[in-house]
Amino acid sequence: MRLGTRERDLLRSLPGQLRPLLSGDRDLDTGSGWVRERLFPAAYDDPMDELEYRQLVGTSPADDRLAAVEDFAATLDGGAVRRGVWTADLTPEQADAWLSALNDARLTLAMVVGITDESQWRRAAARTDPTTIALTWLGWLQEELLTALMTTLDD
Amino acid sequence: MSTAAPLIAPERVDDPAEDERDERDRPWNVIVWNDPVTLMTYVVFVLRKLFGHDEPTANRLMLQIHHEGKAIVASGPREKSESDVTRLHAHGLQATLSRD
Repeated sequence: MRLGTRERDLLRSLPGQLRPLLSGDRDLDTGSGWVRERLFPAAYDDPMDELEYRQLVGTSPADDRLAAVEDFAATLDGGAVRRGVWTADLTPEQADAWLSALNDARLTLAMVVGITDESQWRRAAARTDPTTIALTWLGWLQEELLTALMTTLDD
Repeated sequence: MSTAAPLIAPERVDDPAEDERDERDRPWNVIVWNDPVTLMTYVVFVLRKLFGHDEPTANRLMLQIHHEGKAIVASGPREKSESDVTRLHAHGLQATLSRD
């Protein structure tokens, strides 16, 4: 991974925002729904089935996502900076953690920005607020990471 | 009065245990729903990684999700389908399970 130090700083701000949402210490009503409902969607329409399912999976969905955020944060704290460019080699496990954290960050920011259908991306492209710019840039970064990781999958 | 046992036409006797077995055997569908945020490439990646689909199959499912709003990505026993949904949720996709 090779990024400018300003981009790295932006990424380093994400774990602090994601941890309370993933752990349940905090939720965010964005006007288009609660963020935790999107991060942890229902498996069943039936409330009783859903309750049983939630009891079955317990806290592991949140624990796994939090562990990914910690791996993401740890790699961001590592690496090397030279002439304003940060570089770090990611293991496959660290790359998976990055994908997870980037995806959770995008889902959260998109709710904050108010992306509730695909047509709103066109309006978002014209916006210059920091949250929308961050959302767009994280999408680009996730796409770059996916391009690299696709080559690791067997057909 | 005849003492012979009356002739009774054979009739189907419902076996509740059989009905329960049939109900249990009906497969559960794992459905992935479209959302406006998740990247198409990411959906393809997750479907390939979790279900071992080749690229054309994962692409076809992703496009079905995108255009039709949802697609069945796996079917099977409840326990296996719940596990699939959990793994899809772990990757941030909106997934549910249901039976026809």
